[in-house]
Amino acid sequence: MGEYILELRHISKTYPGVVALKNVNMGVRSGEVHALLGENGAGKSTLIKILSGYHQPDKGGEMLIAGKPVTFRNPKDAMEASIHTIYQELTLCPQMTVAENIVLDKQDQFKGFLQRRQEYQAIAARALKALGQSEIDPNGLVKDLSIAQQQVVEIAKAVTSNAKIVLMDEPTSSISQNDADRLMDIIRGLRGNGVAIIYISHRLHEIGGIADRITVLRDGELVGTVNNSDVNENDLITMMVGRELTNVYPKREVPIGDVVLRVENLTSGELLKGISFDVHKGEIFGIGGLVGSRRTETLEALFGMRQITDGKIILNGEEFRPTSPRQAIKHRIAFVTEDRKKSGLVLCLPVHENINLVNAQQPSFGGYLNWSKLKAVADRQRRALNIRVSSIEQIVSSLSGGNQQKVALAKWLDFSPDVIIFDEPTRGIDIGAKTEIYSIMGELAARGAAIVMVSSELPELISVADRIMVMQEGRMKGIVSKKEATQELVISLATQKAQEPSHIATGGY
Amino acid sequence: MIQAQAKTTARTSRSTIWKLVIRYRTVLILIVLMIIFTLLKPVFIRPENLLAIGKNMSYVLIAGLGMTFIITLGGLDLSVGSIAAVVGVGFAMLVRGELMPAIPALLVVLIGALLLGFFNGFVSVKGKIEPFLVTLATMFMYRGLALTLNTGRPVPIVIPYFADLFGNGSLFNLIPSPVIISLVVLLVSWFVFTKTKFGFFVRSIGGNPEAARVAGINISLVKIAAYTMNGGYAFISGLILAALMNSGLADVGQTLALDSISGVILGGTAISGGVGSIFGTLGGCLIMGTLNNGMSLLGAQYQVQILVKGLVIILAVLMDNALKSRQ
Repeated sequence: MGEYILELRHISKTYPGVVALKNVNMGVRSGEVHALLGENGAGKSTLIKILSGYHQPDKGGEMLIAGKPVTFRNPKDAMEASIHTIYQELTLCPQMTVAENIVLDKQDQFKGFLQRRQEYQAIAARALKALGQSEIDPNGLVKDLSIAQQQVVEIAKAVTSNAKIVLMDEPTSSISQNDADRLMDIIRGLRGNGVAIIYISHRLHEIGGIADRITVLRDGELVGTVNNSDVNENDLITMMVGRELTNVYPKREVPIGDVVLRVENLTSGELLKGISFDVHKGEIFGIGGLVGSRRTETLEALFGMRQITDGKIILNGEEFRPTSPRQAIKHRIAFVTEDRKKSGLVLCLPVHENINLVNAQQPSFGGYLNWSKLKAVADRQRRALNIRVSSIEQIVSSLSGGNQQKVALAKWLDFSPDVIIFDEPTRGIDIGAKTEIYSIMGELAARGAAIVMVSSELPELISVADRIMVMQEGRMKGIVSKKEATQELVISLATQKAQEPSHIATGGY
Repeated sequence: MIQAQAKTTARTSRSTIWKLVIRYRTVLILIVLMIIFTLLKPVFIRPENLLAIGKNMSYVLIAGLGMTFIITLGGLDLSVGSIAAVVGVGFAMLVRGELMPAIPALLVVLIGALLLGFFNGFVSVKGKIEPFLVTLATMFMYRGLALTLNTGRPVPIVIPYFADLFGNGSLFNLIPSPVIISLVVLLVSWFVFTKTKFGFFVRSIGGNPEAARVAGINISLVKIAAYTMNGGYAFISGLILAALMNSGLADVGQTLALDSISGVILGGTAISGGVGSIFGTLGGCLIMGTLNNGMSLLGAQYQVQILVKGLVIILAVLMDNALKSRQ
C-alpha cells in the first residue's frame, strides 16, 4: 500500500464518441522520475488532464495519493493534493515579477490585504537558490526571461508549494540542449529531495538518461511499466508502436494517373526550405514527420495560407501561386484541416449549413439562397458519407468527433476538387469512424482526386499512403514508397540528426 | 416495463416542452409582462396603446435589426446614434432654403450614412482594430460632425409631408407610419438574414471566422458590407427621429446604440457571435417598449424605468444561461 505516493487504478476516460483511456493502472514512487511515453493519441494528455484536475475520470476508477483515495473536481484540488503540473505552454504571467509569479498560487498563506513584497522576494530567492539558479532576479519581469528560465520559475513555484508530485509535459520541447542538460540536473535534485516526477517526452534518448521507470501507453491502454535499466530504445519503440500491422486500413487499388500537383523547391521564408514532390491522379500522398517538422505549414502554403517566397506549384500543368484559401478553392483544391473545431466547422450552425459553406459561394441570382435545394445537397452528402444525425438541421457541436469530421469533409465534396488535402484526418475519432474515413479517401482517389495527407499516426500513414514524404524542421528528408515503408524507416528519417543543433520542438512518435 | 416506458415518454415530453420554452423565451417574457401590465392598468392592452408602443420603439427596433447582423458577425457598432443625428441634421439643412428637393436630399444623406458605416467597417477590417474601439471613436467623431453641421442648433424641417411620412402620420388614421416602416424593414431584414448568401456568411463568420476563411469566404468584404449596411439602418432610424421632432437635432439618439444592443441581447442573439435571430430582436425591442410604456402608465418616473430596464436585461441573460445549461 505505502509503496506509491500516487496510484491510479482502473482509470478510464470516455469523451463523446471516443474512449481516450481504458482501464489504466499506474503507480509512482516518491523520489523517482517516472516517464510517460506514447504516440500521439495514446492518451498521455488525457492522463495529464485527469491528474491536474481539469478532467474527471469515468466512474469506477480510483486515484490514490499516499494510499488515500482522492477526487479532483478542479485544478485547485489537484494542487492542494500536492500535484503540480508544468505545462508545455508555460502558465506564468509575463507582466509580473518572478517573485510575484512564485507566490501567486499561495495567497492563502499571506494574511492581510496588502502585498508583502519583502516576503515574496525572500521566498522566491530561497527557492531559486535551492534550485541552483540564483542568477534569476526575483524582481525581474518574467517576460524578460528565456523559456528555460521561465521553466525554472515554474519549478520554483512547484517547490515552494511543497509539491510531492511534479508533472512535466514535454519540458524540453522548446529549449536548447544546454538548457535541457541544466533542467535534467534540476530534476535530479528534485528527485534527491523525494519528489516524484512524472516526465512526459517523446525524446527517447532523454528518457533513457533521466527516467527510473517508464510507463508506455498505446491507444488509451496501458502497455506496461518497465524499469529503465531493463530496456533499450528499440524495446520502447516496439512497445509504443507494437500493434499488429494486419491490413486494418486497406486502400483501394486505384490506377495511378498523371501528375496533378507538382511542387518544386517550395520555400516559405525560414519555415519551409526546398520542398519538392508530385502527386498523381488517384494517389494518396502521405507526409510524415515529428511534431514541429512543419507538415501543416507545407499544406497551408499549398492552400494560400502561407506566403511562398521561392519555388513553384504546378497544378494541372499550370503554374499557380495561391495567396488566399479563396483562390486555392477556385483552382479546385480542398483542405480538411487538422483541428476541425478551430478551422473546419462552424460549431454553432446546423449540419446542412456547414456542408454548404463552400457551395453557397457559387454565384446565385441576387444573393438568394435556395435552402431547400441546398438541404437536398447536404442530405446527399450525408447519405454518401454515412453521417449519423437525428436531423440534417442538428447543430454540429452536438455530433461525435467522427461525424463532425465527416461534416468537415463533406463541405468540399460537391465541387469535386482535383486535389484534396487532409491534415490529420482521423485525429480524435474512434476506430469505426477512422475506417470509414479511409474508405472515403479511397473512394475519392478512385474518382480521380489527388490526395495529400499529413498524419502523425505511423500505421495509418504507412497503410493508407501510396508514397510518403518525411519532413524534418521544414525540409524534406526523403520520399519512400509503400513497398519500402516501415515504421522504423519513417521514424529514422524523421529523427535523423539535423546538421545544426536542434532548438525546435520534436516529438510525435 | 410499462412504467419505465411511461417514464421515458414523460421525460421526452418534458424535454420537448423545455425546448419550446427555450425557443420562445422572448415571447414568453413579453406575454408575461403584458399580462402583468394589463392586470395593473387595463388601458395598457388597448390597440391605440399597443400601437403607441410600436411607434415609440420603431427607431430602436430598426437600429436593432441592423445591430443583429453586426452582433451575429461577432462585432458591435456604438456609432449608430451619432449617424442617426448626422442624418437628421444633414437632411434638414439640405432641404432648408430649398437647397435641394427632398428626394435628392434623401439620397445624399443615405449615401453619407452608408459612407460613415463603411468607414467603421473599413478601419476595423483593414486596421485590424476591434469594432468596439473603432465605433467608440466614430461615435464621438460622428456626433462631433452632427454638432458642427449647424453649430449644434436645431434645424426645422420645412417639408410639410416629411413629418407625416416618417413620424406622426398614420395609415387609415390608425397605424402610425413608423410602425409600417419598421415592419417593412423587419421583413426585409429577416429575408436577408435567413435567405441570402450575405446572411449565411454573416452567421458563419460570427460562428467561426477561421473556418469561414478556410472555406473561401471573403471575410473582409462581408464585414465591411455589414457595417456599411448598418449605416443604412441608422439612416432610417435617423429619419424617423427627425420626423418625430420635425427638425434635425444634433443630440438625438444618444442612447440608440445601447438601447438597440439591449434589444438584440434580450432577443437571444449571442454577444459572442454566430447565433442571431431577427424576430428575437423584434421581441427584445418590444419587451423594452412594453416596459417603458407600462411603467409610464403606472406613473413610474424615468429613473425607475431605466433601473428596471437594466434589471430585466440581467434577469433575461441569467435565464438564458440557466435554460441553456439545462439543455
